[in-house]
Amino acid sequence: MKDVYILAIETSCDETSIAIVKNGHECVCMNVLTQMDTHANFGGVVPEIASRMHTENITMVLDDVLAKSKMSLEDIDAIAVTYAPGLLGSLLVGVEFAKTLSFLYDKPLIAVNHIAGHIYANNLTSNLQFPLLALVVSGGHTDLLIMKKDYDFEVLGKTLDDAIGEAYDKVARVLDLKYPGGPNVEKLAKEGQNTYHLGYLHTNSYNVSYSGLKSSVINLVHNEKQRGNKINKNDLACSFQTAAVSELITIVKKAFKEQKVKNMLIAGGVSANSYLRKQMQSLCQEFNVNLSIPEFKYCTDNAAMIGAAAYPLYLKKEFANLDLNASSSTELF
Amino acid sequence: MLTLLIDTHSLVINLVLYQNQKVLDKINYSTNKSHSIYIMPLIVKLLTQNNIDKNEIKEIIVVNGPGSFTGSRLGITIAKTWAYTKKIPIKVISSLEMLACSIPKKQVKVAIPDAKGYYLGEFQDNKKIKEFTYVNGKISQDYELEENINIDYNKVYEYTQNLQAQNPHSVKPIYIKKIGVENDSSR
Repeated sequence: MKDVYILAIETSCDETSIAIVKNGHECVCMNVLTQMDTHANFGGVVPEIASRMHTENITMVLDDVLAKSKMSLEDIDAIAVTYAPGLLGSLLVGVEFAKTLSFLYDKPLIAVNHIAGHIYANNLTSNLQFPLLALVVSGGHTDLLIMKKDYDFEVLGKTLDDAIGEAYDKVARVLDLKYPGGPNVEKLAKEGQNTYHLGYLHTNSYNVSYSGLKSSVINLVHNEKQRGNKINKNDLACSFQTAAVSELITIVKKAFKEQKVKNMLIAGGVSANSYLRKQMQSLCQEFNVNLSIPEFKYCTDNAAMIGAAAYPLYLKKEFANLDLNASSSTELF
Repeated sequence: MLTLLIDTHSLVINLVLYQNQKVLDKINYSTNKSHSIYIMPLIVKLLTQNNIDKNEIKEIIVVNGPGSFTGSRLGITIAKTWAYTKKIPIKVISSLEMLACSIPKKQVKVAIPDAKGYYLGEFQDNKKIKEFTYVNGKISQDYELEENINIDYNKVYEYTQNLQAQNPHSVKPIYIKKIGVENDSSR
């Protein structure tokens, strides 16, 4: 079969990214332009500013990818773009850009869900083996899924309130850490020990809850401040992280016992967390399950994962039209 | 020569096709929202109903606002992507200039309303004599409002003749009106 080259575009939050992906598995070339430094000035992503920067930079990012790959748009077989979920204004820039390229070069347009992108990021380093258990962990998601084949998502459980990444960010704020909070909490946790007892709720299902744990951290910091006691930030970060990840260990263990899966993958921004990676690795070893985790560069938002997720849709000829719209909230499952 | 003008700064999508510097055809389409659904299909429609292939377009003119932030961005994104990939010249005109050059008067004051206020421009002989501003609330009577002006697209084209083509990478909307975080930081 002829090789398939997909030009993929991802602008759902604060990264303007374009990649060329071959046969859904090989990232030929990618550029990820992050706006992190700009948004750090405001303590978080400002949607309007993110949209502005996407518009300013997107053609330059394409220029770079075409130059580095020594390919032209004529060589491309399809244009893929993240259409949901994410920041609406940001998504719209990528979608309009993709539609323009699709029209000008007569290439099929493929609309990709961002979460599918995170899952299929694993195809860039390994091959998805079905049936598999997928743990999606990010700033907006904490989902446990079973996939029996491509694009077949069965939800086992999810967070009842905050996503795990959101909890990390809120804890970061309480500890006066700079944006991006999650990675900074992880840094402190590495230096600390699990000494604080944090109250939180274990559910006896596949669902998790993070609002209790988050409140517990906030209350502890508040009370210690009122008493004039100093907080050991490293230890608190470590205690929080241990508790947060143990929630995930609990539900994944339950799934290993009750579901017949021999393959597992982790996806989403929080899959870059090395403590989570280590814990899942030893759990999978214990249960003799193959674990797939994307390379660090494919864990955070990037266009290569969108190209990987577009490939099964390309094979099925599931193409979008030029009236494609972006959506901030369309869920995958 | 065929030129395409893209104007999405307001709730009306305006697309104009020029042949040899005169209007050949145009589409004005009112939307409630979701420009994104309509712009590309309308461009296809405009070209198809005139039997024109996209590769015959040799020049792009785009309106860079001021007006709807998202609306302007979408038009700009299409225009700069087109000009960059097809290596054709791109010219940029503001919504206020477009209104001013449609009014046959020496001195013109024009206003574009949005939900809370107005974008204002003052011109003499089609030249901007004051920086564009945004004001909240009411404005004086001597401003001509966008809704009462019929845009003369042939005049608009004449006006763009005097403009330099731009580097597509550097084309971006003008925003003028401050957003929340800008107001916070100026406090």
